[in-house]
Amino acid sequence: MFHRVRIFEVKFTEGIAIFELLASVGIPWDIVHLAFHRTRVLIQQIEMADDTDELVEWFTVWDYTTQAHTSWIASRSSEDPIETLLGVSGLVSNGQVFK
Amino acid sequence: MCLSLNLVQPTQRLHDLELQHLQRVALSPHLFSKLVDANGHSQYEERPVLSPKSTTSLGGESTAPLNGMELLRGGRYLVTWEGTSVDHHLLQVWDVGVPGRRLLLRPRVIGALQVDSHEFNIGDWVIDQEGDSVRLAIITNASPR
Repeated sequence: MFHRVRIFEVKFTEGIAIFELLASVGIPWDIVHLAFHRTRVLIQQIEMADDTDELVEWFTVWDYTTQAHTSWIASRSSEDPIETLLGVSGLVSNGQVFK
Repeated sequence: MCLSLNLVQPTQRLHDLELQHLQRVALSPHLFSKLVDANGHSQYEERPVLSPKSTTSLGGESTAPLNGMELLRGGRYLVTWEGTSVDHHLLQVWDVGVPGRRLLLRPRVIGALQVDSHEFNIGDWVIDQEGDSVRLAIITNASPR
């Protein structure tokens, strides 16, 4: 099974709302969190390794206007995955910090 | 203040508001704080349930369960997501009426999106509002072809 994230813009014109598909991307693992930061979407995914009991956590930042993306991973113990989630932050081009 | 706090955008235009409505919007942060101060408590003690200012029903012939809803900033438009887990998913935008007045007795659907997927993860949708923009991200699951 794979997953797909679709981004729509809801436009309000003359009393009606229109859903306009802006972008779509396929994601291989379960998505546990999504967050917008302007045109970028932070996607947090969990992959369970087949041969071990470890969780592999993927973080992807995807710019839906350019399709540019970057990902990084972190290994987690499956015993306590929630308690050990890391915060995520970064810098955008104008120097603002997002979390 | 309305602009800096994004009290009306993106679903309503500031210059389209009548004076009475604009006054109500401008007072809304103060009114909300007053409501919370009067009924909340810092020690998590049990407090009376707040009474609704007004209520309405979302009509329609559908009997599908309502899985989620979100009121857009500005308070006039409500996005609902209904459907079962396998065959029917529908996102709808409702006009529930201008804030500060009574809710419409019959809110009307002003937009809808049928999700083309045989499975839609419950809870996996995010709405973002910034300036004039309302963006929606949804996650769908599909079996590999």
